[in-house]
Amino acid sequence: MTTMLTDLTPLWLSLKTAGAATVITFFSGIAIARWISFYQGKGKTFIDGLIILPMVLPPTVIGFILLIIFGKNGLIGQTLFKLGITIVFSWPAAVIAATVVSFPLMYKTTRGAFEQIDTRILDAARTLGLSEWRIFWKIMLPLSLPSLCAGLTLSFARALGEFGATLMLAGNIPGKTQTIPTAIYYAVESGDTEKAMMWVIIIVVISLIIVFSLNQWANIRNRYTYKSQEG
Amino acid sequence: MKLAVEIEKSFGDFNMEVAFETENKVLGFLGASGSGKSMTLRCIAGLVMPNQGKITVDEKIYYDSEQGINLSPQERNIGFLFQNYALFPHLSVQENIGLPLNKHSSQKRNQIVQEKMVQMQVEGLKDHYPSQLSGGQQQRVALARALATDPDILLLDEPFSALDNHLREQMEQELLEVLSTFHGLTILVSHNLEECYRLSSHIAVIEQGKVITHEPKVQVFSNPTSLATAKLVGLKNISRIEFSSPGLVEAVDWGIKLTLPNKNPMLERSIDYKSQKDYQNATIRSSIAIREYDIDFVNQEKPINTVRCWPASVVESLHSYSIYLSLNRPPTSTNDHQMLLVVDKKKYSEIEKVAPPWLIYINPQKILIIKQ
Repeated sequence: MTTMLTDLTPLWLSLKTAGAATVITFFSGIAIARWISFYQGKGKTFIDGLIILPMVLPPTVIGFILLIIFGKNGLIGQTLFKLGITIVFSWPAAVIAATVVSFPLMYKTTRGAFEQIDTRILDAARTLGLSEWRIFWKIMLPLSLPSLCAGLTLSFARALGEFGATLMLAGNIPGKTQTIPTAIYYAVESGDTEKAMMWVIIIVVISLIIVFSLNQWANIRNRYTYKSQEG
Repeated sequence: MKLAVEIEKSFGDFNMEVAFETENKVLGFLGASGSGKSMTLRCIAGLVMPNQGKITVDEKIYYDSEQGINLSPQERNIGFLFQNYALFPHLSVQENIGLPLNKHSSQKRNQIVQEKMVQMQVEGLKDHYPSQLSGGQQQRVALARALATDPDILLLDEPFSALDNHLREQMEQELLEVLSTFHGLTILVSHNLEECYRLSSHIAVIEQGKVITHEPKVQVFSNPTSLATAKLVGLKNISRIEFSSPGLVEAVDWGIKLTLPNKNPMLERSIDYKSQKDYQNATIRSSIAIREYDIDFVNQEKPINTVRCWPASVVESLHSYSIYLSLNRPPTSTNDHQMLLVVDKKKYSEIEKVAPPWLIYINPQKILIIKQ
């Protein structure tokens, strides 16, 4: 290697952005998944579809929609601008983009876990007098723990790899909004293959760690069945 | 304590209109699968809301569509034992029993948990997880957990269906003991006749979403009041009858003429004929039935109700033989039979020596009359 990476800010920015996005996604994903799991009203499939949408849309479409919402003339952007806050081309914009694309993964995994719980267990808890809130904390969450961890890891991976929407909403400002994916893109663009390669290696290593930890969660998921084999 | 249920519930094409009252300690719900037994339990527990009606326990209203009252399952004081026991898989035995007891102080809670574990003989398993327990042990824990909340009503949904045969008998015995000390009402859902009979004092028969019989168990089994009940209580030999001549009816499905009992206290309710006209009326659109082990083999003809018969097929069971008989003529195939008889092995070895046709005697006192 002739050139070493002197500036590691894209790495820290990436981790920071993905980390912040994952924290938001984790809690809101669980909350929304619980709400939808118990939702009995109309339009359940429609709401579910709307939440899942960012997972299937091209990131540029999401970036475009986010620009409409958070741009200076956008619904939210306008109000924020009056308060002196500009979202576009700022670090929060990168977090917003990463949150939006990683949210469906957390939501989907969590909802799947909630709905896999034998309803008779929840019904038994109800007849035993446990409040819905206590059922959520003491039964649903612990039983879904392996899936929650898997969802968390997947969301982080997705947030870390976010490129399209981030580029459109947050841009590529070195030291401010430039994450590893955008850094790779611009390194290749400017012909700096070695720099691009370094970033690629780094992101592959991080991703490998994520995949390994995912497998670990899968093992924990089987904990209850392992117990029966011992006994 | 008195439970009164009068509810309507429809789901899909199925309409349920269940109405009954009970003050009896153990009520058995007997019905084919899909008859609405389990749905009724779920409505009583508040897990499913009926379309309309009323559910009350003594003065307490659990559900009343007119007054707009619908207590949540948490507000109803009900213990529900699920078919698969529904233990919390991530909690140990003592945690399973203790989790719902958060209203009590921790000292009181431990005391209740301990007490129930001792009562249900699971104390030695207190740190085990549900997946480490056998079916019988899981059931004991589920019962302990339900009883620990001190319910007024205990609902048991097919409690033994997930158990092996040998465990079944043992758990049944244990359950009988638990129920005898339980202060409240119990409703047991089952499609197993024997189980229902042994555990309950009264039986309600449910057929297509309606309670068609609700009586002391002896009556339900000895004197079924409808064809559906007769089939549910396991009567295999049932035939429509037609008035033939005074004192005689024709059993249409069996192709034989029989004398019915003149006076049988057990049957008085369903048939009470003082005059010939009454007798004639009583037999219109009625059926008769006889239990497969209430038919006797005889060596010579009796004055009445003796029938010649040929075996169409014989099935050997563990302790008995089931003999499918063709009446009055030799069978044309193994499926050509009108009546089933069950005899023990010793008896069969005697019958076997005699060449068909055999003679059977249908005792009028053993004939059950089912009004349509």
